[in-house]
Amino acid sequence: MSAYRQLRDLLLGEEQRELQRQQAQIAALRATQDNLASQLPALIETAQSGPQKAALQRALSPAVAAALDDSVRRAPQSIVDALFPIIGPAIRKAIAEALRSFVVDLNRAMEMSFTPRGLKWRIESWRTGVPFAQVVMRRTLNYSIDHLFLIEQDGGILLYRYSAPELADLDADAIAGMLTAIGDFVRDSVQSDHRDSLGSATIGEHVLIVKEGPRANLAAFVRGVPPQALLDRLAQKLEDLHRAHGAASSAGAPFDWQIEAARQLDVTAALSASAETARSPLPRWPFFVLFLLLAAGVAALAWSTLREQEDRRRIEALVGLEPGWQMLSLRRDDGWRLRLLRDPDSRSTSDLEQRTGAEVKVEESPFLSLDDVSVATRAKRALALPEDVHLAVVDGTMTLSGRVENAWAERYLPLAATLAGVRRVVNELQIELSDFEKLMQLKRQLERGGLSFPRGGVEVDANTRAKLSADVAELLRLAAKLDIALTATVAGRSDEGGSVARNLRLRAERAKILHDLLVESGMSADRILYNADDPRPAAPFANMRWEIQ
Amino acid sequence: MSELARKICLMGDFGVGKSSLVARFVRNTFSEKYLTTVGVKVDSKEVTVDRRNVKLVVWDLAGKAELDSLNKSYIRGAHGLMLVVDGTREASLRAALYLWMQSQKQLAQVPVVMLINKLDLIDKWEVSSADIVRLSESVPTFRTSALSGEGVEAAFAALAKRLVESV
Repeated sequence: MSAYRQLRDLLLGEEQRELQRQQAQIAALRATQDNLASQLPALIETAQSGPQKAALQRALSPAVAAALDDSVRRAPQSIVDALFPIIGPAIRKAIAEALRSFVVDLNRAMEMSFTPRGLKWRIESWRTGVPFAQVVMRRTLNYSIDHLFLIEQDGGILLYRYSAPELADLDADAIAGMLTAIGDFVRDSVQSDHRDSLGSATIGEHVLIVKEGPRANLAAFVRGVPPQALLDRLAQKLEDLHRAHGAASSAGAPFDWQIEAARQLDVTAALSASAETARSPLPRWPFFVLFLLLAAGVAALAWSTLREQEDRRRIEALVGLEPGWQMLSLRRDDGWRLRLLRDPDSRSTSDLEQRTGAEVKVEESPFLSLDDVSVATRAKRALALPEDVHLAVVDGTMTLSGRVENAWAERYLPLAATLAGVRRVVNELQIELSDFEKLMQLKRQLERGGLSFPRGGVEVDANTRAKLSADVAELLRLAAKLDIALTATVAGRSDEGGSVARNLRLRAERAKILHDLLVESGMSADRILYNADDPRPAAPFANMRWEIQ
Repeated sequence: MSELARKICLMGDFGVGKSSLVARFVRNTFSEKYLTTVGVKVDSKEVTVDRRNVKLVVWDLAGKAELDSLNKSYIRGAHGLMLVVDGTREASLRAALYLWMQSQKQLAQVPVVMLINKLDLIDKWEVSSADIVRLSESVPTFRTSALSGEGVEAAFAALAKRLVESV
């Protein structure tokens, strides 16, 4: 075996030593690999603070970017969770800034919109094409930037400054430092997180505006009222500066904040920012043509309005004066539309358009009017008032006068007091009887009176004879007029006492005297009868009874 | 703006004379009341170091024995520290060292100088020369008097020189 080992060493010794050396190297590499995980953080930390920092960044950038890209695709939610605490406040801040800007613009626009000056500016905005808000700001905001500081975020070192030439010199470095300190102080006072900062402060006519960036802040001391456009432009400039810084850092190029700031922060440009968007003024003649058209439109509108008012006044006056009409509403809707209450006995509305000269559509509802004219009209219709009767209504008191037949009076006068709107009836009528009524009245008068004689005698005095004869003649005239046939029954009456024969003779004589008188008065003898058995008590009369056939 | 601007913070216990030292060195822009309200007062002074202009922005922090959160934000981004000790109070030395230790957690290795103030009261000093010697071995140490101005310019100049060298 010994010889064999010697031989093997002789033949393979060099290869075995090489094999052992390789195995040792592998073991060392494995040990290094095992320790790498624990040593890597320290190694990277050392590299970051050493001269190899830039090389390390270049080496890690592609891998970190690729890993980030892969992580976003594979587990987006974890990226969302990680970025949420950063993005959330940033979004809220952006929304708050946008809302604040919107409210400021809205307030200014509202304040300026309803004044003559505001209208003038609105016309200028329309004519020049400049937004109204910019016109308002250009005309109302008088401001100037006194100082503009670009301040290092961490240490408060002044990186760039601009001060208006007319202002006295000041210790800008100290002010920049104090601004940073006060910002920290305010942030610490409100216990805010690191991302928030002092945005603005106002003292009298001065406004301090601070725009914060990740590496530098922009502080502007403005005298007057800064427009929102200036604030937006300052923020934009700060973003541009940081973008330039980021580009230089990525390229490994040196970056001088002062030089870049001097180039970016052109205060004159910032001040004139609002004029950049102004467009060329429009030609003036369309403006004047439009003005004339507008004036003509306004005049036409005014004329139409005046006519409308005149029509309304005329319709309202007519409806108001018309008895029995009560207007409910009058509105303009493709012509006039009139709603009214109308008493059926009042004037019709059919000729309303003709009377007013306007197109009027009437919607009427019936009602009973209590005005005197309507009451009088209603009474004339209800009472079938004869021509000779005069009717007047004053304050509900109806007065009737004139001549009227008794029949009408008996029928209609009781109705008069029941009519709507009539509180009292004053009757001044002269009531006349009809021929028939006269006939009947005369008949009753003749029958009741008879012909009187002296006691025991048959003589009739001339006056009595003439009166009776006239009455009979009138009765006969009325009967003839009314085409009534009359018959008369006459009877004589005797006095008390005396013999039967004498009384009989006396009754006969007295009946004969009345018979003859009737005949003399025009009564046909064949229509006169005798009544020999008059049951009435004795009295110096001859009586008659008339029958209508 | 062409010169180098560097932020230095003065720290020390209450009553060590920081503000008096600043008043000796800089043109006072702001009122002392900021020290009791905001807790810091910032001034600046331009110095020349090796024919190079350096703008020192001096943050005078209100005297405290330790850094609170607000003071930690004030020292953020500082390029140099100036620790001020009242020579008549040894406790103020310990406070200054403690402040230094606290600031190192936030700041990288920035230049530091130590000022043992109130040299005009040297008879009452509690800080021994031996301690000063030992301090000098780790940090540049200056004996100063805000009252007479002795050592003040030298201390600021030394710090400015170190700031320039660290650029």
